[in-house]
Amino acid sequence: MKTLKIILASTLLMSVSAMAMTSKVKEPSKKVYSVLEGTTVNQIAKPGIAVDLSYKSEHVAVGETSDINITLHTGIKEGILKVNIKALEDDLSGMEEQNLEFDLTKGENSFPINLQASSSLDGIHYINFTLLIEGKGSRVLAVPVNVGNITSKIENKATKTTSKGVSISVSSADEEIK
Amino acid sequence: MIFKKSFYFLFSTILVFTACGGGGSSKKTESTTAPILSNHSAVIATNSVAISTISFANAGDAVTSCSVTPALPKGLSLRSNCSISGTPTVNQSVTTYTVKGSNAGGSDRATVNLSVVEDTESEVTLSGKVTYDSVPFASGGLSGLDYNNIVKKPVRGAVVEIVDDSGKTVGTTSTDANGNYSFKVKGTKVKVRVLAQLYKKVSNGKSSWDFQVKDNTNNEALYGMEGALASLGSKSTQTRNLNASSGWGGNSYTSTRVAAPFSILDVIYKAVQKITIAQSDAKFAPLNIFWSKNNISSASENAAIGQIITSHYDGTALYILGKENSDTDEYDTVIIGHEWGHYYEATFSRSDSIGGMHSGGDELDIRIAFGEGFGNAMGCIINDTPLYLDSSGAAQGTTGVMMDLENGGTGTNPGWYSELSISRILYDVYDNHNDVGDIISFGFTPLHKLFIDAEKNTPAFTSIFTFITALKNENPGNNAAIDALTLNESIAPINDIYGTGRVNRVGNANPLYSILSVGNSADFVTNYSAVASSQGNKLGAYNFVSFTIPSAGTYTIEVSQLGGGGTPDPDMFLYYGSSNQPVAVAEAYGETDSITEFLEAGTYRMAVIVYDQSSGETFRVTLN
Repeated sequence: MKTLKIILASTLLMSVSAMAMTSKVKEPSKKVYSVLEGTTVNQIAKPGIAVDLSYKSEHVAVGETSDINITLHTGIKEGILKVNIKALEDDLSGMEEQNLEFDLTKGENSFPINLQASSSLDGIHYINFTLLIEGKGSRVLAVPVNVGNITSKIENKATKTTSKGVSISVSSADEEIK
Repeated sequence: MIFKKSFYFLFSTILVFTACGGGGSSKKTESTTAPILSNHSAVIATNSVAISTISFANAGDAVTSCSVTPALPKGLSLRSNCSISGTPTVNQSVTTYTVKGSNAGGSDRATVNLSVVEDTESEVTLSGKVTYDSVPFASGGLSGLDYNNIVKKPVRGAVVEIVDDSGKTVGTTSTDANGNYSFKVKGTKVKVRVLAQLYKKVSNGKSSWDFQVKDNTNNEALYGMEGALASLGSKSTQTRNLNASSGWGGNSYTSTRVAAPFSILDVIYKAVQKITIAQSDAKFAPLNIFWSKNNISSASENAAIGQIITSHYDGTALYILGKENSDTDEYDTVIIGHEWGHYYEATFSRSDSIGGMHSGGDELDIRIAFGEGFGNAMGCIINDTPLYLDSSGAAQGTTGVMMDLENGGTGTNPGWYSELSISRILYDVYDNHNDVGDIISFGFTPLHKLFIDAEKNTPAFTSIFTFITALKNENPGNNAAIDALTLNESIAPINDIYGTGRVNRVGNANPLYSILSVGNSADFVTNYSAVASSQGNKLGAYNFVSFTIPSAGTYTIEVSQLGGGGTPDPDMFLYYGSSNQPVAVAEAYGETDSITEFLEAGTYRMAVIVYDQSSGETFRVTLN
């Protein structure tokens, strides 16, 4: 099932976000349920390269194209920021892995990227961003793309309640009896 | 499976009733009918097991007093309405007991044949070993996780339950340091359940803890694994070994990742061992550790669907990544230790860290530099390894972050603002391996004592300066060795908690701390040259002030711009004592801001930030 198609609309937008706007696909009848927003700025973070990610992505209907705008922020002024972009789901199609590079020595500290994505499946789809600066390490961040009907909970295995009233998610162990 | 035979030995002989219902009465009154008692069917009680109350049917008026002959077996008692209850504690052959119930209308007798038998169902010693699949890093640590070399490690300190065929928990214990457990069990069929929980109940003068690994995407259910509901067999012993599988199918996870919560739990087991050796009565605040296969490093937060931004401690719970092919941390034991270290720092010591993105070569705000350096060091100390490894990517086959805390002085941009320098210093103080610049081997106990006292109560913001000052105070004979350790990270000897002699940013004349006194002021010049927008956790974004209030009273602290243009919007955050929560905040929008507050006598610390992040502007802080 090839279901999510992500088109890298702009491969190297260093500072002019308007360029990303010009690449949008015109869809007059498109229904946008909402615009998701998120950022890692000022959030707690485990060690990794100090690059933040902010995004806005349209929550669209199945088959419609979501316009996704991402901005990477960093105060690092040395080296090349390498960005690998890839849909996380295994059953995606039309999604080709993309690799971008941003020169951090040119004084810029914000790097906008525009993507277009669609899916034939309801649900939350993720786009993986692997950020790497040689000699400084890496960090993986993900951008959600909501398509169609989004359930508020993840489908999970049933829980049990112990005789002590504790809710447990119990799995079968590999067991040897002798 | 062979079912165990159960034997009941009845120490009994069947006796005949010596009395029957109805009959005798005396001194009747017109308004009250004498009791009309019926005999009770025979009762076979089990020694040490509470009986169901024996009640005699009564067709007359209520019994108001009652007696019984002969005396009931020890543990059973007669109530005034002739009912018999309690828990027999001695065996008793079948004996006929006669009760005599009375009221104002007369009396009546009834009998019950009662025996107490030994529960002779034989006990079975059920024991075994609990393990989990541990996925190591590939040799050298640079290529992510190595699923071809999974090793079974003991599940240590975890809660183990025995569950009978009715679903009732009939026994609870914990695995030992080798993953072993043992029960004495009666019954026919039981199953062994192991919970992802370390638990030791609260007890005066002793340590206690309750750590539970739960699923934040599944109603916060506690993880567990269990074996089959199976017969205990016919022998006096039975062994049941349980293993939690990784779920790895060769190229991806293909079945339930049962081992993941137990891998996380084992890191915490190691941490608890470290702390309780240092402090035998350590009482750990209860902590939930939320892990899910759905937990992803999304740039938005919604834990119920797995969007947690990153593995982190949020002040109340730990959240750990688990999204396959993106970033999983359940086998990144140092990451678990790092995040648990934040919990430890916050609950046993004090954390003044302000969070935000950070990496090893950054010049960080002294508070986050120490907080993250502390976390890195704790992750390595807990796991007794100098290698900080973080796997990620497709099949978890990439090592995204690697730090070696043994190679002091070799990192990028070392200094007192570097989390990596601080990581190496703390780890070198702990470890017993001497290397360049490191001849100190204190172990963990002195560090713990420092963290829970001097570091927790320091009047300055927690930083490498407060740590080293306390370390020197407690180890005056090692000052030269401590100085050598810091010098190896390009840090000149530290002699006080305020880092006297340092400036708040390279090329900036501001001291790290401005020391104020009542009736005086201090000036600082902003320098945001190295601070990216929205990255207020870098060195120089905040300026630090310390002052001592000589006597309690109402004081005013004001910050204002002396020169420059724009709308700088300075804000102030005032702290006191061992709390990391501000006692007062000034966040009004404008060119000035002030705090007027009743302040107790003592030493205060303050952080000042100018939100427009313009460089070269002069600000004045006054205290009156």
